[in-house]
Amino acid sequence: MKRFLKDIVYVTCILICLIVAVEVIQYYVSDNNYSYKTKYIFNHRNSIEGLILGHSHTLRGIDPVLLGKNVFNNAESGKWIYYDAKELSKYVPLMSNLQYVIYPIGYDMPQGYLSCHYEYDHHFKKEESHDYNIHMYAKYEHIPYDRFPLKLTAFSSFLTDNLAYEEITGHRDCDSLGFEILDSTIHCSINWDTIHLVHLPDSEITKLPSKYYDEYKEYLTEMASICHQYNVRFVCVTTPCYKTYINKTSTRGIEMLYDLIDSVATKYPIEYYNYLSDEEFRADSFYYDCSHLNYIGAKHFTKRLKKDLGL
Amino acid sequence: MLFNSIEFAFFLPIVFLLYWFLTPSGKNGPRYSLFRYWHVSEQTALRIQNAFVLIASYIFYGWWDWRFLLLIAFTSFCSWGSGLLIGQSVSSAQSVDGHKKAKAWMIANIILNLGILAVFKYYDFFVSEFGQLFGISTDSLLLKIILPVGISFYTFQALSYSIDVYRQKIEPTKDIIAFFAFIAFFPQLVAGPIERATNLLPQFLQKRTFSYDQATDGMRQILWGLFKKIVVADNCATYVDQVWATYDTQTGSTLLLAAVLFTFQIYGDFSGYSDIAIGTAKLFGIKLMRNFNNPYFSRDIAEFWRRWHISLTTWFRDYVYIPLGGSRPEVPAHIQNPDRYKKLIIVRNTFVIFLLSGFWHGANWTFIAWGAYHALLFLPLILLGKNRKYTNQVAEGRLLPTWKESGQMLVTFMLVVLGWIIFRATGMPSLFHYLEGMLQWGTLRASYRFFLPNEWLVFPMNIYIIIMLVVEWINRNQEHGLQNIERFPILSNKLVRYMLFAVFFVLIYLFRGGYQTFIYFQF
Repeated sequence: MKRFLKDIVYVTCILICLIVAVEVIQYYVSDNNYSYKTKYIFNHRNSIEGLILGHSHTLRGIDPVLLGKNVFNNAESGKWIYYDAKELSKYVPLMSNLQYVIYPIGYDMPQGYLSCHYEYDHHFKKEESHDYNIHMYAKYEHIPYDRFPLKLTAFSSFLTDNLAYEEITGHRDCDSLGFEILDSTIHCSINWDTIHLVHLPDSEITKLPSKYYDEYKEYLTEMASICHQYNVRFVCVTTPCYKTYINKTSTRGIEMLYDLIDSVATKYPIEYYNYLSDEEFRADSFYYDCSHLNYIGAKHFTKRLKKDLGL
Repeated sequence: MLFNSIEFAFFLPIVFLLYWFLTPSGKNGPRYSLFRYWHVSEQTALRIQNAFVLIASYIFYGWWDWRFLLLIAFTSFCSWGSGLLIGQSVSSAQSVDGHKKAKAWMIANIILNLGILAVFKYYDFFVSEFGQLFGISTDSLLLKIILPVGISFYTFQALSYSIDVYRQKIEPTKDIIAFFAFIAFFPQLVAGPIERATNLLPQFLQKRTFSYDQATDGMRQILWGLFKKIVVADNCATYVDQVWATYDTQTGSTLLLAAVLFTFQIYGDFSGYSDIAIGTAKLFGIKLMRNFNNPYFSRDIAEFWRRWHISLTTWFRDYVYIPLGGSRPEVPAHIQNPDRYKKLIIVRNTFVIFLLSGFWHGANWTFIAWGAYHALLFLPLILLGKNRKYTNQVAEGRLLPTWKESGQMLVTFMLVVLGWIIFRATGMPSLFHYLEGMLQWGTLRASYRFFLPNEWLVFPMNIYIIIMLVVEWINRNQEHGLQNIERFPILSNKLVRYMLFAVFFVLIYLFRGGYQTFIYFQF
């Protein structure tokens, strides 16, 4: 038994050494979306004119090439507004040429217009991919998440996600300007019918705790304030969604979204564009799934946005 | 609790240490044993250790759903009780009456166990099929209850006990704790191997001693099983699931590739599970039966079935096929054409076991079709007396197979792939659509995906599969991919071996696929 346990200890020691070595090597050598974007922004801080923030809706929905020459897409899948606010306060003071910031509003609001997402899934980071995000932002942006529920999930993500394959190989989904193309020829069927999404009636939405809504408002205000301070246009957009998704949205949620924008706009300037139910984006061929534009849709949407923003 | 979960990573070492802490011993026993200092009889110590195995197994199972523990306990109790009654009837009365009684108890136990299985697994299927056939709405009659994990496995294990007691292959045990531990032993409780009472129960009735060689071999087998499950099967699953979710829009090449990958997925998944189960049991000084023996290196379908899910195949062979007459049925005196009669019985028996085997997997016509498909492939071999042509390992004594052997393996493999399409389909309509789609060849988009990273796959999965096949080919005469690897000069050094194991762990961690449960949990 002693010999066996000794052997286990030896193998474990070798294993720990290997993991540490791999971790260190990949951190300094290989690129992934997070490290690439951090480096890009820092290296191009004096030339970036437009910065796109937010989550998968903008990551896959706005092609920076079509918006202008010096535009960078810094959105990342499943990103919660907390990170955008922290990134903005970190980078805007360094960016001498920044003209505008685009933020996708509504989708990740805890009590936003999409009631099916009321569970604050972007906030609590319940899913594995969100645990992964926590680590990535802490590791590459040095933005730790200091909220209570994350202490526990951060530990579990250390065990399960810290050495995810993407980190090791430098797997990068985004292109050189931070945009991630979703193949237009493949429609993902999994999220197409929104069968997994729960529709909450208005009466239920009003019963939800306001804590997370208030927090969202706090970060949005913070972003608007920074942009105002550095004379940068703060543009909020609600990206188009497919009809199956829109059917699950709630009137009360949309009202709350408008209230939120109004309340921030009383303090700082905000430009708001809502494309959620825009007739121009009804075609099936524009969508990868019920809430994400594919490459064709992204092209179309970016051109429209460019026109509306007067760029 | 899943073998590939963090919970199990904590559970296993704790149970391992406590188990050996409770190893029965006298004053001169191992220093780690409690009973070296606390003197009780060896029998009592063994019971305490078995009780600990039982508690650990129930925690393992209850982690998933504690309510179904009652079902396992009930099944165990009934089988244990029926075993005693069968034993009493057989031994106390050497008369026709005694045997009749014993037979009645055995049949009662079979009906009870299969009845429970039928309610949980097949009731809704039969009711809805009946409703469809006669155009009746059966919604209100459906039970819609979840299938208890592992019910098909432990039910068959319990059945084997009462049948073997009836056949006097094993003495009925009075030790209820040992018997309950035999039914619920956690490494093989939820997905086998389906153990025979003749092999596993005696191990619970005698003292186990820790063996360094057995434990290290167990650790290697666990490692190899984790590689097959987490790296091979889970990576294949990502692709396979995506294709099956959108099969109506995919090209023929994509569908063919997904079918091939499912073939590796199900092998990696199930044989990986079996390796982890067998390896874990070895850590506790218990030897479970082998469940897979390189099935994809088979030269014909008969050989494939001797190597795939061995514990289930041999279960059906011993408890269904042979009692039905097997391939050498007795011919009644009044039969005029004995050869024809024999052939008919063989055809019937072959279909019976393959259809039962398919139906065992679940209440779906696709499983029955899968069984029938394999029966059709198997029949020519058995009728021509060629079903036992290949009983040895392929390319024995050689590094590489001959061209003929390679061709035979490839043909068998492709036949098996076709079978897995039937198995994987969610229903008959989807099966036909999938097969139809495969004929529309279209572009080879999917094929290059096989070799390049893309949005579904983070790494070309062919590398994982090649590693698995090469390792298993080299070690095909061993029980698993990492057994006795020290015989290779390069791995004779301990440190090199440790490095290799650590590298394997890192590979598992780095190249793991998406989190997937085990396919055979649903059966």
